[in-house]
Amino acid sequence: MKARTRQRLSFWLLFSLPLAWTVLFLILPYLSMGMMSFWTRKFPLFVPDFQFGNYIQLFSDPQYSAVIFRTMKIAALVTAYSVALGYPLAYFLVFTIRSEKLRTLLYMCVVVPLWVSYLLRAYTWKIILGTDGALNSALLWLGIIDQPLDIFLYNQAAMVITLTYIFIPFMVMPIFTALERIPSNLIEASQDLGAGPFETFLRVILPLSTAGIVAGATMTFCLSFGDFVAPVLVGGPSGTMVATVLQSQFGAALNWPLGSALAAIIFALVLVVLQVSSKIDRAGRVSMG
Amino acid sequence: MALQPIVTLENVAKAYGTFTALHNINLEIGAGEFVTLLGPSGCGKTTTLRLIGGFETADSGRITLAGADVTQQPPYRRDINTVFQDYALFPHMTVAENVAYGLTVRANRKPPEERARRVREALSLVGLADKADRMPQQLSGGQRQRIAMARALAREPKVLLLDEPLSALDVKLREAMQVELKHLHQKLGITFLMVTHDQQEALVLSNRIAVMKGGHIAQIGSPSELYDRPATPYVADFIGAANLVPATFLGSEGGFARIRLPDGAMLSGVAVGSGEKLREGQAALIAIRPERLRIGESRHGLPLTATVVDQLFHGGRFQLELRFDQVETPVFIDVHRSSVADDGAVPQPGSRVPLSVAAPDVMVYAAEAAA
Repeated sequence: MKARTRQRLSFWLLFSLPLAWTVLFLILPYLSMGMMSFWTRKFPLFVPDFQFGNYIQLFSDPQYSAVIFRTMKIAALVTAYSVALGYPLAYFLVFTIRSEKLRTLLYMCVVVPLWVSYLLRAYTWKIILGTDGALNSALLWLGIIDQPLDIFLYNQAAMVITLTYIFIPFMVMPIFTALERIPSNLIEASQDLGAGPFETFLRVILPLSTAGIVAGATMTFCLSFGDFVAPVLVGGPSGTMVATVLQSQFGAALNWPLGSALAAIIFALVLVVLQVSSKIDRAGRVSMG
Repeated sequence: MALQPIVTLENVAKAYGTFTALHNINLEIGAGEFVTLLGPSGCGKTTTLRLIGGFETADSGRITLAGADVTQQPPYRRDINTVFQDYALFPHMTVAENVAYGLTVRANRKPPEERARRVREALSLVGLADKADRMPQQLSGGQRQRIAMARALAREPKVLLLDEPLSALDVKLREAMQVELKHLHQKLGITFLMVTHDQQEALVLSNRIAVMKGGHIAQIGSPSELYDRPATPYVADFIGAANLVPATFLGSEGGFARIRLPDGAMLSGVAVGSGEKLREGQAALIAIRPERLRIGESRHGLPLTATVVDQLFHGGRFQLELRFDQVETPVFIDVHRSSVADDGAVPQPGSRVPLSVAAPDVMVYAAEAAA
């Protein structure tokens, strides 16, 4: 009994700090966010209340649902492009590059940008796509155009490009890991049983790397969904995303209750995404042992 | 060879960077044979198997399968299947799906009824028909091994390659699987080519064994040929146990080689391989199987005597470690408990014992071939 008490004591000593941290900085903010989403705004004050006016406003005003759908569309596009570009890259690194050193080097090239300031990387695309940017200069120099074009920047395409660039490492890393874990003798066994390279890819490599794709897709989707720097830098008016709206509710618009309600909706959406991805992941997960 | 060759290797060579894995190997495997490639790791046995399977490409030489040149063919175009060392079962498929895999590939898609029948047959062949709906991870090592066999056999290949098929199993299971493997081979009549480092396994299972060393085939022959007439001391030492003792060649006499041991004892033996070129007075190396050395007076030649160094109890038999005078390498012999009155009659350490051996059981090689 005494040993048990001591065990309990040491447990609480060890875990009270991380627990307090979690409660203070995660649980409480979520609770206060949830509570405030039911408050009323009486400019310039927010009055505690319990009413669904904020949610009704968000769902009835097409302006908000449009932003949410646009954000989902952009996040989905970023995810799709990241898979389309990231999977072949990871495949190439794992199966085509024979030299261990070169593979590590190229993998580092994918990861290293993560160490550079996020803002800087987003800003880079502003420079590339702008009217006096690298792309226009190149096109001018090639003689394809004779006037700088302003069609590259401040639209949704620019955002998708920028976000894909920024978040693609989060796609490549889990896919790379998943592919690297596939024992080479499974690929040989498939060929041995009469399957050509493409069939082997479809029936062995792809199913065994689903977990990596799901993990990467979840990350890129959630990260791009909540992004608010790229819209500001390269998005322009047509590229407003939900995080920008959210930010303005807590800033210029000064409507915290509405902002909280919006945040709660985003939170719910992300939870749904995570739930779905873990379902797919569990269905596709297999142990290699 | 009397049998129709099904697999032939002609001057096949393979190098990895600066390391030469295979030096111009020639090998002919007859239809229906059970051939084993035996040797320590790095001897080239696995490379040979992978070349036949198509997982590696030969640098030079020719590989044929049933008369057709397959040297440059990828694995999925060869009528050969492999049982991989770690079984390589697809973890995302059930047992039945694994076995059916080779019957559903585009190049060899069978109608559903035939597929189902062949999966059923293959699974019952290995005695696991009731495990069809399991996942491979739910099976034991021995069961996975059988599934790997079933998956390869469902394709009804001309040749089955087995890459150390039993090495991951524990001893008891391995011995049981050896018997099964042998029965399976006799029943199916297809050609088996196995790679192993386990000489016991090779002796038990094979029609012929190719002992490999450093990218060469040191000797190829039936298990008894290899055991009774190993071409080199290396083969003698690798297959079974061998007592290797340095000696001096004195000359030939009546078809036998006369030799002298360092302690002065003389005996007769059979010159094998490099031993046939020995000239008088040259250094030789003799090999004697432990079970051919008997305690007791020799009928011919000078008496062979040795000192008992140690007595090792093995259950059904004692193993005696002996030493000839002026010879550093120990000599081992077996004394079966059924052959002595009681355990006290087994020579004790320190005692000197007379030994005898028949001339045909002594193999004489040139000393420099010992390496």
